[in-house]
Amino acid sequence: MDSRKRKLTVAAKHTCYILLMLLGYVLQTTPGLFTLWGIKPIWVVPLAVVISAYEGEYIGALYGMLAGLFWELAAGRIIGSFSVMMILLCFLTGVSIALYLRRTVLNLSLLSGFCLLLIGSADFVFSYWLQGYGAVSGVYFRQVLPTVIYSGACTFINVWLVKRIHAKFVYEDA
Amino acid sequence: MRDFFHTVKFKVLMALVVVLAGVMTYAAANGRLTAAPQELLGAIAVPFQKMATAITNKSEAFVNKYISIDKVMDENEALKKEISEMRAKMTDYDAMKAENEQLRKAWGILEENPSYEVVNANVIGRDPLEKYYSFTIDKGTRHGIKVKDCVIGSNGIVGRVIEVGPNYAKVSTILDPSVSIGAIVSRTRDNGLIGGDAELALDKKCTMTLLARDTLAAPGDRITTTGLGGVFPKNLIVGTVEEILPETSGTSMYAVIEPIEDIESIKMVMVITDFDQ
Repeated sequence: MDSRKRKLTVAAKHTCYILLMLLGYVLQTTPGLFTLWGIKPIWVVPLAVVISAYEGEYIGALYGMLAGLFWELAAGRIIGSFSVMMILLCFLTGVSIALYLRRTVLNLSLLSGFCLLLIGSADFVFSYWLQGYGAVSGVYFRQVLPTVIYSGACTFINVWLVKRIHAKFVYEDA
Repeated sequence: MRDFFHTVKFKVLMALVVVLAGVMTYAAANGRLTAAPQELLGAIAVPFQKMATAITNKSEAFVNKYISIDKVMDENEALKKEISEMRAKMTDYDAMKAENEQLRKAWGILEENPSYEVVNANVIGRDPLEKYYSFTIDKGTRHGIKVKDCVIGSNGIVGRVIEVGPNYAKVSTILDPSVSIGAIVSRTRDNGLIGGDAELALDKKCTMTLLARDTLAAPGDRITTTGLGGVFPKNLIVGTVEEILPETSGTSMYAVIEPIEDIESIKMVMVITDFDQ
């Protein structure tokens, strides 16, 4: 009975996380929503980073993969290009929080921003710079960097949501 | 921590990385963006995106009534001024109309083609890192849309379909440097190629290259498609010339084009699924 209750609790928690990821994808791609001076925040990556901070490196890596798949679909990138990076980064985030860092809003915001900066920079190199288009630095400074900063600043919302879900679905042995 | 690298979980993660890398290589080699997992994700997410877009559009319309009143008043004054200028030009209208009719017959310009088969679609997704203002629409293969179908707005050309799923499609706009459209300056009949520029795309502009050094094209001239290549129908409006500049090679000129459609904010488009070439 306890085992069954435990499984149900875990299933409910992950259902909430997946629905939250879907919500993040919808919010990220809805035209005009949360747009400031033409810049929109990315929701799925900070969400995956925060989940890995609360649930550990393995679960975090899996949610990182899911976030990467959603982001590839939204941004029109080749499947796997973001997912592979997200698996690695969320795994490292989980390890960092477990061993070195405290789970504070500031740390998670900085980690999210760092992950977005790495992925955004890699994407810029492969999608613009290596394509040989002239004068592409404007794309990096006017689109990529502002998006990273805006997304990192919005991480506190993801922290609040994941913290509540994590606390709500804690199973304690009798 | 070291023990984790010997666990089944770590091996599962490595297997996932290898599978994703393999799928990525396959997709890249076949010129595709997505594979079956993403098409499934897309099919699941599209209804939520449509709902969120509808709610956002309604909210935006409601709020804009109150926050844009100053803009509306300024626009009203500008329109009044424009009307009075247009009244002054009306005396030349009849003469220009007659000349235009003669030119149309002389050059054989076709009227708007009634043979287009179109599918109406709504823009439901724009990612923050989307390249060149590309977007996702809420129609796909189930509605007859195919890759490379031309996408237009109510005024002119917007782009073309680059990826399609059962109930969604991704559209690449004319601001994308990889897009190449045969075009012509309506007034001077100069031919050129419409394409994107990474820097100009940030200002929502594109270029028309391969203009002759002695081109007579000037700012304000209208650009239309030639239909060459068979992807884009003929006589679709692309935009207007903003300025003419020399190419770096010095052997030709290029024009900076302001697209006729508002690429960044367009909400409804039409996909031309078939037309007479």
